[in-house]
Amino acid sequence: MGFGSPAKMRQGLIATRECSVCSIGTLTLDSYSRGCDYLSPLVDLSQGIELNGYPILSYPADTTRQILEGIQCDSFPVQMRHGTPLPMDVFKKLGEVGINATEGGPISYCMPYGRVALKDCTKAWFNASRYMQGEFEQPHLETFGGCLMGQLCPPSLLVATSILEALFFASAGIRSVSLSYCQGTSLQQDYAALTVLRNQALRYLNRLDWHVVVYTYMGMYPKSASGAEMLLRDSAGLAQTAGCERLIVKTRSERYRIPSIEDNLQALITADQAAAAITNHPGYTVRTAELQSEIEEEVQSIIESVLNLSSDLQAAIVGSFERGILDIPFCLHPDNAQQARGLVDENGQLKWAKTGNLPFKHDPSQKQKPLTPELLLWQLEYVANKYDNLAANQKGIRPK
Amino acid sequence: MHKERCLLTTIQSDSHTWNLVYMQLLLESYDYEVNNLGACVPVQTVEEAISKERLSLVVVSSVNGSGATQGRTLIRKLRQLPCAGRLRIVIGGNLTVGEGDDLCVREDLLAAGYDGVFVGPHSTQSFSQYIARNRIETCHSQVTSAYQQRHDFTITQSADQALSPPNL
Repeated sequence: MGFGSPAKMRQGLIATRECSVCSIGTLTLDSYSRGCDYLSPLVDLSQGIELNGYPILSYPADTTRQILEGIQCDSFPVQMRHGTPLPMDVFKKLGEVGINATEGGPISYCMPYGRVALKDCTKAWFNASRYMQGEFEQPHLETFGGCLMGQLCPPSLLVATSILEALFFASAGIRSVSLSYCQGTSLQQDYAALTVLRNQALRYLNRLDWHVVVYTYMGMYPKSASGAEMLLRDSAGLAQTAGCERLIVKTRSERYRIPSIEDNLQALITADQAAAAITNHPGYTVRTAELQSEIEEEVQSIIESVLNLSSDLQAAIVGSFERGILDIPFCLHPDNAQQARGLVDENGQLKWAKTGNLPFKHDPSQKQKPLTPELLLWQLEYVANKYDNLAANQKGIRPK
Repeated sequence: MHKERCLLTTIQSDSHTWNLVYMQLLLESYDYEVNNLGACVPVQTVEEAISKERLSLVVVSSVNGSGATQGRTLIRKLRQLPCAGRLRIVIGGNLTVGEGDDLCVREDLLAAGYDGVFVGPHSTQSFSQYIARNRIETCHSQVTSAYQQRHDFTITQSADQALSPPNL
């Protein structure tokens, strides 16, 4: 949640804190600020143009402190969400205003959304994380590696990246982390992936205080309000069933506009109700076990290959991308090999179309027809169409 | 028929890339070889790419609502390059924050120097038609010039005598 006006930002945080749901507050940075332009937000606001986030670096520290005054506390932490590849300015500002939780990572905030060189980004993230560790009381960093491009990425790469970014934060001295994972095209596959993520965290992060945060689908969103609600409810059910601690929601207006405070509240309440309604385990079927083992094998291969490159995680990450051991499907960053590609298969699951140099023991890629623009669109719209159709079918059988 | 080169770019503030992934596939389906510059492209990077490569087409695709303003700055700089005088440069996407601004934006960007502006609900269709026409004309002139080279005389073109385009 992010608004240009400090008053509205405070109003949103108060509303989030006072709603019935167990929630945390978020301040989301605007996109000018993500590109280090701290003047344009103020110019736009002076002309009555709304921003798409809160420009924390454009305001004096006191302005933000006043927003948080009497709201931020142990039972209502506030997290800064920002998307910057070079985060030191943001982290220093957080130190000034007293926010100790933020998120991102050297891979996830470098590759998908910009063109800052990966080696510069890893260095900047290491330095900023060290700064946090040295200057903040109880700093907390959440990985964004479980989201990456938001679509068309097979779950094993999301899980591996989330773990690798957490290890990266740990190498800078951070002791409290959360691991992101973004809902995909198949609940069954996501459940398997979350199980693998938690197992990998137990294995690699056992000295850290960690939890898992599930993100409601980050790709092209359903057009209908009821489709959007079903997708949100499913993500809440997924998080609850997979034993995850936190959920980041999407609102019914996701496809159309920046959400209002009311949109955000409604999403929180809907998600909370959906999670509470989960009474049964969805079933640990044979198929889920197969998916889990498939994902686990791929995750292990990736993590081990990256860590084997170097004990220095900065060098390991940069070297891995150079060799294509890490390769994010559809990511156009100049440092991404662009040889790996994901697809939505006929079962609606995310699989590999090609794996490039990803270090898998057995090639899991599936034969695919040549990727045309129409096929890409179909895959990008798959979840949106699925939920819009589900919602329309439900309406069809309801008595008038 | 050799492939034509197309430069695909966005504006400096735009970090969205799915539109660029889609556009690349679309251009490749019309047999272009595409250099896709990715997200957040500085003006200088576009200038360098245009100066280095032999291009038939430059496509600016942007969806973050700042394309009208930053796109205007971009085209003015590009048209100052000696090699960009006759280069086809087009722009499209969601170029403003408000929905109703399309027509004004279109006129303004054409006046600033773009050869085509593709906005509004049917922009992808119009763009596809534009590049299809562009490919036919290019193929036609390639075939014509190859024929001229072999036979050493000029051909007078007319619609009736137009050569069939290759299978698109």
